[in-house]
Amino acid sequence: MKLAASYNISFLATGARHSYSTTIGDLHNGLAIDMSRFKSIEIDQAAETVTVGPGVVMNDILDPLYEAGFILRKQSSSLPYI
Amino acid sequence: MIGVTLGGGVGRFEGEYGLVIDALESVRMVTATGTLVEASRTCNPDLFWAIRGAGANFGIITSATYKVHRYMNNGNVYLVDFTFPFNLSSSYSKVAESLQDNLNPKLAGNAFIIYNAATNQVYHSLVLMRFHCEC
Repeated sequence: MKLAASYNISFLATGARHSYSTTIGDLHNGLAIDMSRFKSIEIDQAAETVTVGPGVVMNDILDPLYEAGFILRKQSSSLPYI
Repeated sequence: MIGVTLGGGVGRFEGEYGLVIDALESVRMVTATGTLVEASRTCNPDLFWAIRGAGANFGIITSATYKVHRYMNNGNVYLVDFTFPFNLSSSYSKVAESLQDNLNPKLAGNAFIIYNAATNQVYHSLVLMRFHCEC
């Protein structure tokens, strides 16, 4: 980032490269900083949190979270029913 | 996931549980000066507020921590999937519009327009999902 800034090169960070925005469409001859290898996933059972790197996609966390007993969204009801 | 988060992170549970951005607790990020900082409600709170809604241009996030929750009902969900032929678009749109302010937040839906290559048909698809019922 320091190098790009010092040479006035526009850049952006990319993960799975699924999205599009008008900002991205305006970027030309810039630097794409590929974060896709940062695939770390850490689940903290006590704090009930998950920490991920920028290369992690939603599909990567679903099974590890489920196996640890968690979902990303909170359920509010206490009456189970199938 | 982090890209999704900074863009909001809409999902089928947002009526009751909010967006993915609402689950974000803290980040580590490199700012424009090349400095690695932490941002959370207690550390650089202005920066944390900024990234939760004002886009991804404040720096490059190298790590993000989210609150998670224990699931109930063994994680089982109740899922109802409707498809409607595209020539019923007008009726379908009226039904979707009528649900707009009336949909129970525990019953969340996703609406798609899908193309079936096998039949060469376009459909409206409405998927409604609920973790479990209180009835």
